[in-house]
Amino acid sequence: MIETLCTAFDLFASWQNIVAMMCGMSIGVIVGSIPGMTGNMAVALVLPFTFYMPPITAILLLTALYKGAIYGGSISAILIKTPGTPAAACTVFDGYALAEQGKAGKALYMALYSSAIADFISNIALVFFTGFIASVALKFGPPEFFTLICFSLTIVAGVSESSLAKGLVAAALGLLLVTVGIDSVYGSERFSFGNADMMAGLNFIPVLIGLFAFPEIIAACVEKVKENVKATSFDDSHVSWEDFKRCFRTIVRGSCIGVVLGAIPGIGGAPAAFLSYGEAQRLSKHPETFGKGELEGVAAAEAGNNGCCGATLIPLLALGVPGDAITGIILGAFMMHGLLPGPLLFQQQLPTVYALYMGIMTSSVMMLVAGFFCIRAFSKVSNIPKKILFPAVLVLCVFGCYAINNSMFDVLIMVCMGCMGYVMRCCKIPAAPFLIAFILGPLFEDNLRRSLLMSDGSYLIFVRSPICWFFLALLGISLWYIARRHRRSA
Amino acid sequence: MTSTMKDVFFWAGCTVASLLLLLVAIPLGVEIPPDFGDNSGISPKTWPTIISALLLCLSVLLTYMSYAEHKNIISGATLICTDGKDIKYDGRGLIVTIICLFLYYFSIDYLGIAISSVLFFIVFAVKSGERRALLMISIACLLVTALYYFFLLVARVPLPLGPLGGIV
Repeated sequence: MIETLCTAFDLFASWQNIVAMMCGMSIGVIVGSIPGMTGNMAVALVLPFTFYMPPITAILLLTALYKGAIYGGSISAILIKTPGTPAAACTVFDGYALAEQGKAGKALYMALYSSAIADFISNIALVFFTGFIASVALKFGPPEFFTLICFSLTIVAGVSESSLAKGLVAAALGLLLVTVGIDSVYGSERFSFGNADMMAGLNFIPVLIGLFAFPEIIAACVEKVKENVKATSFDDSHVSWEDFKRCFRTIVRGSCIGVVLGAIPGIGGAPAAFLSYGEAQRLSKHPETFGKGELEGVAAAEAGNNGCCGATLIPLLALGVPGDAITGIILGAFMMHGLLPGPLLFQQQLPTVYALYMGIMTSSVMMLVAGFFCIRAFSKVSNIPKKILFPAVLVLCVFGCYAINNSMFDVLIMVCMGCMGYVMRCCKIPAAPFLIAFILGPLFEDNLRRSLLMSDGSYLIFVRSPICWFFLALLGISLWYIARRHRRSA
Repeated sequence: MTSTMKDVFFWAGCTVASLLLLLVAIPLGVEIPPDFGDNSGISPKTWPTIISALLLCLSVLLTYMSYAEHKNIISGATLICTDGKDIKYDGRGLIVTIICLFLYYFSIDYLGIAISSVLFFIVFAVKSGERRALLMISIACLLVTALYYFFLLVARVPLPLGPLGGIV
């Protein structure tokens, strides 16, 4: 064992690995902070350059890039209300509100600390509990997924602001729009009316940007920006020890949620962030402050999405199953370098696995370092007057949206969603429930229908396993809590 | 027209839209496979129908709530609460902004993404209240050039070039 660890350390401890990770992390943070540039795109672009690198250097570079991109999404979410990545969508709720209150620095540093801690916890889970978590994740079938998503959807009530009915309208619109495209079970068309672009469905990023960034841009034009008003105020304030202590439990809870959801193939960071946010709000002594600039909200969202990063590598390393698109590309990198993830990798190439573990653990520290530099650099954005920043964001969004699929259709969706977002803003319909429903809707419907297909139409399948019972119990508690809160506020 | 009356009309419009969705859009827009069995739970139509029905119920409820609020205000039973957060907007300005957004989108096909972006950066900056022409033009050109080369050379995204295609 000691000998294997020494060999692994020899493999890991080279300046090439450190430089590769630092570059990967920095590029990842920058790419992640550009709306429309996703981690998938960055990892896919860098993959060919890793061909001539040693396997460990190549894989560490790609994983650092992946983690950096997930964290980087929070920077633009906080500063310009435009999440760089879908996983950072939840960070907008409190991050931008904090920035508007002149606490952008606090929000950015809290996002960094919670991301780094969640990433570290996720890495620990990857190193020590791979076997256990992989076995739990494999027990998740469609009924278990369905009950989990039912529970997650109760967050809608928490983010509905003053009117639950308007929140439900927004959620229903999100659920409806996400049905556009090809039906996943039968492959039949739904609301696409023969249009090839519509058949692919509505991409998440244009919808997200349209709904959050565009209403601000339209409002700036319609309501006229006052002379030289800055976009936000970067007050240079750091997170105080008291703030950190207050949010620590939320960060750990969010990290654990991220680890569990990240280990389940196909879930991803966005639902984990929303679930973590919902739990933080439910367990908070001041749930009414969420969505209005609560630091705990930023911590919960970032801990949730970054908690997934290490955990998505669990099914990849343990079973050879990629958890999402990025780990799919990383699987390609493994294979390109002659490594085949799965049980055999642990038997035949144990020093390589340990060297990767060492690198992945170190990447959390790298995230802190890269984050500090990037926050300083990006903080300049907050000093730009709104009347220059908003047109710049508009142009950036158009470039970013086009780049997702090289399609003008995505740009059109973004513009249409922007108009819809502005109407929703005028009618005081909250955008957050729409977004949550848009993310969780496909998982909800697919798993419902797949479960019914498995049971030949019997709904008893949803009470077949202890995991289903667990989530149904949580759902019951959550609904009871929502009803109690509404009764009290009434 | 008072804001509560506007709400009544808005939600009544939503009710009509939900009805149209339920009665027209779903039957026309959702394709049922020919070999579909009798398990209604897994039909491609079921889920959109459930959501539309939910939307219809909520719209009716909100129409009723807005109407009740409107009646209370008229009868003087409720004091109008003005917390200063109501959004005041200029209808004509909104229409012009939305037209500009769509013009930006359509101009990309003809002028390419770079020229349209420079142009509409300036348009939106002017609409937001910026008046320093030199500043606007220089920022627009620098920003668009940086983005253009980043996406074209680093991200390898084939951007629509328009008339610039021949030059670049």
